[in-house]
Amino acid sequence: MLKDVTLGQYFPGNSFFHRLDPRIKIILMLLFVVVTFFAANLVSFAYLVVLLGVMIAVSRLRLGVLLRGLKPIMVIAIFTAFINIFWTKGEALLVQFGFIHIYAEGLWRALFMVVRIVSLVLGTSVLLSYTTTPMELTDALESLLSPLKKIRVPVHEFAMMMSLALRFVPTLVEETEKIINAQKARGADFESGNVLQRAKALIPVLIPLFVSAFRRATELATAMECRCYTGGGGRTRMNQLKLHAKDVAGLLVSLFILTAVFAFNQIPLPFGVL
Amino acid sequence: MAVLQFENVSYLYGADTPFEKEALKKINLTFPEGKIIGLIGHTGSGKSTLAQLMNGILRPTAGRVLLDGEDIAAEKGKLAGIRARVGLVFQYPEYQLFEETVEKDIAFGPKNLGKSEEEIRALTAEACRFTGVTEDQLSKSPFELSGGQKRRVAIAGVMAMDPEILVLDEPAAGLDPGGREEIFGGLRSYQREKKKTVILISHSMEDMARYADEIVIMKNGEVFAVDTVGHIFENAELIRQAGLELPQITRLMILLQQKGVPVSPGVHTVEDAVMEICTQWKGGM
Amino acid sequence: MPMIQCENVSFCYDTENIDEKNAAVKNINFSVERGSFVAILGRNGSGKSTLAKLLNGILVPNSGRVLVEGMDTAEDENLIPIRKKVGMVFQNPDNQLVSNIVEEDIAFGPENLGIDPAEIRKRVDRALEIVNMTAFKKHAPHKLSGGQKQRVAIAGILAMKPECILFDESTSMLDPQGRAEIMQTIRKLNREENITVVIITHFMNEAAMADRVVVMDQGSIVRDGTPREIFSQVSFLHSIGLDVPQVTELLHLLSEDPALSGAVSFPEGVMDEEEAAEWIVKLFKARKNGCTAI
Repeated sequence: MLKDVTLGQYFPGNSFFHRLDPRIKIILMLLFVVVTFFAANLVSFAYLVVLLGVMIAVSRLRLGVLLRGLKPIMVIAIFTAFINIFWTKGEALLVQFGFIHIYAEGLWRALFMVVRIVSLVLGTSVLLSYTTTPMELTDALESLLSPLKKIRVPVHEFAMMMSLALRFVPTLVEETEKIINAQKARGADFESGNVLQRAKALIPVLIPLFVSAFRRATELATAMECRCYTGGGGRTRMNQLKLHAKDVAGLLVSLFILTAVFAFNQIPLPFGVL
Repeated sequence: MAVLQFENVSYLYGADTPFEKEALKKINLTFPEGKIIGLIGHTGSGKSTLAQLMNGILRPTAGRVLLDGEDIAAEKGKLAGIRARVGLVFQYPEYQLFEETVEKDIAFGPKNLGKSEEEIRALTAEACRFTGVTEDQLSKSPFELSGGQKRRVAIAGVMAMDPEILVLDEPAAGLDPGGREEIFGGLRSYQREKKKTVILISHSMEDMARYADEIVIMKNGEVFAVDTVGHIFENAELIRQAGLELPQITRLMILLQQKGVPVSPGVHTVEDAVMEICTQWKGGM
Repeated sequence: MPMIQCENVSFCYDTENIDEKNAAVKNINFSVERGSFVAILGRNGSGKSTLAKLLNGILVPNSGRVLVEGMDTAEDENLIPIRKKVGMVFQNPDNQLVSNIVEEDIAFGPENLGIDPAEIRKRVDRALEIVNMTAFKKHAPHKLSGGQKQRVAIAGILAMKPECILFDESTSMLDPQGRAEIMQTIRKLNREENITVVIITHFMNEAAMADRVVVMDQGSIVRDGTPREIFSQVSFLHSIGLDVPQVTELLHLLSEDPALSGAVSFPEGVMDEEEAAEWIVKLFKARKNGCTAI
């Protein structure tokens, strides 16, 4: 289960998305999220699915990797679908069984919600987390937010903390697994008992994990000091962000492609209510 | 005592993902009873995976792990019983300590196994004796102790579960010579007194030569050689093929033999080397 | 002027009751010469890591002073110039890498110093070359072996162009192969790049590679000399919880063995097999001569 967490895991590559300026990627990702929420009818959703397929193909990421990233949110998706199927009232009644009423609108809405959730996860992964190194991401955020420095927002420090957090996710995940196994070997039982007992069973995992995280943080801070880190002032960057013509072109084309969803929303609806 | 057996055991990490890796390939192995067995091999040879299969932390992708002839993965509910019989100490076990006091931490394992207060007290005392955890440390917080002391508490925690087979992954990693000696010496007296099976995973050929009775060499996920310490270290070529280094003393003896000095090249501890040289020297008088 | 100089340095972690008894490091006087390769040897808790942390101002002495090329580590404005000159590689490779990409991690130090991007690029490439990790420059550190991670950490320091590097038990978490990789790299830095090297270790064979071994016990320096001088004191080293290389111990035991009745007087502190073998061959030759005489 822990191995499924792919947050902060960059997959090296050389695709269009890998090479796109990370700032543009952040803007596109935000736009993609907005568009996903605004998609309102079958045409827009079909368009969204096709778009996602094209994005995945362009990113040249392996499908298996992407699907694994979906696993943790499957529960949420199924739950949402379930709610929508059983709780949506509409006109086209399909099934009536006791108190259960299932309407066509409910089915469609459930399908749309699942597509929405899956596209959110896949879209943000493809656009950002799998194709952008955490360092690029930090730089991009720092650059996009730099106007806030004028009002004394510690933008650099914030960006640095985020990138370090990302750097340590895989390390801590590995460590958590190791501690769980070690406590299992000492007869700890994480799989039976009621909620309270299970929560209690986590103490032998959480305490060592916190202790270890603090130790790592202290050591890391010392190591960073030894490498002359004193905050953002006076720092330069080896890889500087520079907008190229292709980045701007990429942004414009993507804007056009994404906003097409608003147009598709206007297409007459095949299922009255939606 | 219990017999631990591997029957055609294979293990795949990350099965069905792009990161799939075959860590073990059809292992067939029976661990001798009542001995100290050294499990050695290059990093990535599969020895740590092998250790985690021994008490069901990992389940074989194919094949069976047998304890006294019974498949340990046969029933899920049985795993707790298996963990009571095969104790596993992971690498850097000091990072698993969590209780308020050393005593409570050592008692965590035996308590999980449902042992009585009285039994736990006796087992704790015994484990402390073998690992060198002192009386005054018992009431301290484990986080107050030094690295070496924490390590010993962690080992005592598994020993106090009174397993029939005790498996330790690099129990002396990162310790200084004195610390290594204390840990390995303690484990040897534990084994000799309690007549249990102890399986030691280590990179240190010097330590293995001193403390193990039998050696299992792993290479690329396969069992490369199994034999007594004496026989293994006589075969320098075999050790080199496994990508391992001979103890310095053995290298010296081989060198001496090449130079025409009549000593046996199978010597692998300093004490034995002194004896061998003296005997040969006098023998020629 | 020595690279680093310690004058009557004492340090105590417990700042509430500073006294001789609970000091981690007591009244140390010692200096590191430019271009040398020094090993600080001692068991766990002997104060060797504390001493290392005092050498580049991570810790500041309670009394006495540490000078790096004449700059006092206690003065805040000296810290950056000191750390530019004296870099440090730690024990746990995971806890000193800041980026998910090898080359970006190596760039971290020079970036902090405000160096020009083109120059950083050059330094990073050169550092990767020295530690032999160029092929891995786009990799994620957490997928590398321990030895490789530690080489990345070394490159991260090298890119700052230091004159001296401190290695605080940098091999103790590695397997034999990783340890050999790091020791080989360290030797190369000292010999070919003229970097002053101080290693903190409890491995005798690592200390044997240095030009000078400083032995610490209970916070004090108890011996200081060439590896050979140090390893000739087998009983003393045992008494403070340290070992000697196996052949050193063998010759030591042979020379004390009554059975050989002092047939050959072995030199003390022999560390390599070749030399030890020669002496044992002499021992057996002496026997042959003895036999013919009888």
